[in-house]
Amino acid sequence: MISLKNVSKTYGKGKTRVEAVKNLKLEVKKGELFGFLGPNGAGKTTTIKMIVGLLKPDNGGIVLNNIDALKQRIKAKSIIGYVPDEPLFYDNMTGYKFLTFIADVYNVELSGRKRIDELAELFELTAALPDPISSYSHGIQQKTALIAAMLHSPEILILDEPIVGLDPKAAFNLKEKMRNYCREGKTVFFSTHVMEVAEHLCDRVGIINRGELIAAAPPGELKNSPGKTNSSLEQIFLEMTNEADIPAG
Amino acid sequence: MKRTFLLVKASLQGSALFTKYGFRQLRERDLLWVLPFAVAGILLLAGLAVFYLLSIYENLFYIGEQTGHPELLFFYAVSGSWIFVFLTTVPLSLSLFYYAKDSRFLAFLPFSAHEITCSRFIRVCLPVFLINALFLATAVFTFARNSVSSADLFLSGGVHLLTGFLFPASMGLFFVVLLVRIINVSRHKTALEVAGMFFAIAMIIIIQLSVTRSIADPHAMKSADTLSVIRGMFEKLMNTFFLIRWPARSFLAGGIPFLIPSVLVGLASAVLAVGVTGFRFFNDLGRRSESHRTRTAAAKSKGLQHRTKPLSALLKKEYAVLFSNSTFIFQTAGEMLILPLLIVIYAFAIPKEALELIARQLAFGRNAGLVVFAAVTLITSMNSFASCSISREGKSFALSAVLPIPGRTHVTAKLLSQIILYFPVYTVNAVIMVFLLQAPAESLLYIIPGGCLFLVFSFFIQIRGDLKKPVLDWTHPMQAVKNNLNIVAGMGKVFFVILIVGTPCYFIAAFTETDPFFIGTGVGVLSGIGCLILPPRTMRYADTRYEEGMETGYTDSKKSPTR
Ligand SMILES: Nc1ncnc2c1ncn2[C@@H]1O[C@H](COP(=O)(O)OP(=O)(O)OP(=O)(O)O)[C@@H](O)[C@H]1O
Ligand SMILES: [Mg+2]
Repeated sequence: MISLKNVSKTYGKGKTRVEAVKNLKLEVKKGELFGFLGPNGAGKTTTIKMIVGLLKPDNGGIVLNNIDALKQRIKAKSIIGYVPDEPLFYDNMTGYKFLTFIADVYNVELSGRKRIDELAELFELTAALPDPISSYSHGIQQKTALIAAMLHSPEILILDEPIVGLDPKAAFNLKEKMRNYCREGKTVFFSTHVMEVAEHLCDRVGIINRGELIAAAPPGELKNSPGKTNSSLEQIFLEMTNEADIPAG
Repeated sequence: MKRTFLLVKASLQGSALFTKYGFRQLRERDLLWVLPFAVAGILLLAGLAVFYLLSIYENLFYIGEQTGHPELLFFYAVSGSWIFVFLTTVPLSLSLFYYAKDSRFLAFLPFSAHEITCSRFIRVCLPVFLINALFLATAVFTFARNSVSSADLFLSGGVHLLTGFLFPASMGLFFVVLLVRIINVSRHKTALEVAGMFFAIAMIIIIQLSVTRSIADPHAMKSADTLSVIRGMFEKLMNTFFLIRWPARSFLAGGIPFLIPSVLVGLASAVLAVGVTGFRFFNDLGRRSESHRTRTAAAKSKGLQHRTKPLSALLKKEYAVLFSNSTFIFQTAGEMLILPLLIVIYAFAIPKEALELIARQLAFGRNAGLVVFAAVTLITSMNSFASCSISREGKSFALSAVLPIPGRTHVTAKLLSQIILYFPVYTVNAVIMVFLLQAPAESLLYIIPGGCLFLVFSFFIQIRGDLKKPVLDWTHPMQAVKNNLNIVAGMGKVFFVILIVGTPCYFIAAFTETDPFFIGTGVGVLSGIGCLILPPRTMRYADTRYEEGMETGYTDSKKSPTR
């Protein structure tokens, strides 16, 4: 369960001040697959960084599975798996060394580490793991980051544009994996720019524009909202984010 | 050819600091003041090199005259130039041909492999030209000053100025191509860089020693048989390295016949080197992406069989960061070895009589132990922190910040890595200095524990600033090492602490009859008290800072607002 209560975040001061996220209110239930949509610079990454503890909200509260994330940080971090928007690694570690490091710091039991090989098999990564991460292609780095995030089977999986750079098969497998995760009663929260994925995969989507949440509903419901029948999620998205532009501009 | 020069120009604009774009970048970052210092530094270095070369050449000229081989001077000048040009070309071509990001991009543009390699070779030749000029111009100057100069001297000088670097540069390029085709360079990048730097330093020291040793005092070698020995040695050398002998001879009067073959050799080798590099160049570039397919799935991890505690996993991560690039490795190695290096360099550079004089000046008598304590503690504690700073983690710090590990554990791992690296260094340095300054051996009883305690204390002084405002958005590791004001400020604080503690100690030791052992132990106890007071507070601060994620990722000024 993820609960954001009036969360705000501002970058910079004076002239360079940017209100990246404004009073964001959002509930994602246990077992829900939630897609987070929005144009570039809308505040998706900022929101995600606040949830995983890389940024401190200016005000508001964050609760994850009944843990106050701003008070019991370490406890909250231990139930999160996070895939950042750009893959981050210690370059000269091999894939295996890196994943072992992650397993060690999350206290994963030896029996649980079989998952490294299972996941590597799934993403066709086994051959790459003995090599240094710096020699990986972007997609392979992305896959390694995915495995690292799922290694300790976190209660809450948070992915920032996870599908970018994956080949079709890996993208398919990832989507399956995300679905299965939710079936096990865990929560998945991911941002994406791919409307088809959001439309067909998610239980619910949220649309953020200029730091404000302008909609949060199941994709089917959004499509059938008054006056907007029979259009695709893409059209809805474009309309909504454009409408919001006019009064502000 | 025109297209090739287009590429040279583009490559220069993309990289050189001294272009309009470079200036603009410096101005935007308020760093223009760096320029005069950089220019002055370069001029100073060049001036020193010229001075050094001139004094060696002077001796060589004299020996050459004595042995009846006036080309000796040029033989040495050309060899020196070739060695340095070769040594410069190797890393330069590795980075320009194979590591440069735009190489792969160029492969998609309609340029042939040979146009690319040719343009890159010209780029390599630009700095190398200056090295060659430095060696040859000073030699020509020395020769012209000491003997009747012929037109041949200046003609040859001019021609070699323009072509003399071609042969060694081509050899450097050949070497690199060989290297690239034998091993996977992108995979062993750090190892290669480190090996190369150590090799270059070793070469320079060897050259330096052999030159100073062999020609230390030419006037002392007047006796006929020393001269004949030298003549024999030199003739042997010249016959073996006839490729160097040709250009060397061409500087003498009537040496033009030797000029033509030496220029031809240079040109031919350059054409050959560029040709060989261009052949299968795109193939060589492409090897990087294949690298992960080179091993089989058979190599499974040992991590599946045993488990480590989070703290030791973090400690391993510290070393992974430390060894992630050659800049960090070199900086750390330099800081660990700085004192022994200084001692060795002085031992070689300073004449024996002067050393003895210094030793007599440095006789601190009964307080020698305290002097060792202060000096070694100062050097080690000021230099030891950078290797395990938070700033070094750079962008990958976000990885640390999302882990469910309290800040104090992260800091403890860093402290442990510092202890493992620098306690031994401190101890060895202290023993060396006690020996050199002839301090009583029992002073080590307070020097070693006291210094180690102070090292821990200074770690906590220094990490506080780094926790407050870590520099994480660097793109080149050099920025984390040099431009990091946290490190400089931390060093200043430690220096200040040592000054505050050291000044009263100095007066007590110098003007009272207090036993130095007592003073040293007192300072050790003070450091111990510091270690009891400061760390708990810093650890609490670390917890909060890691929990907040230190607002990682960007600084405010980096990303301009879109609204
Ligand atoms: N460190 C920072 N300093 C200043 N402004 C920032 C910083 N990080 C983000 N911003 C600004 O905050 C706003 C939201 O950025 P954010 O990265 O959250 O967008 P996003 O929705 O993830 O966009 P994208 O789809 O491009 O990834 C943007 O206007 C961005 O310019
Ligand atoms: Mg983003």
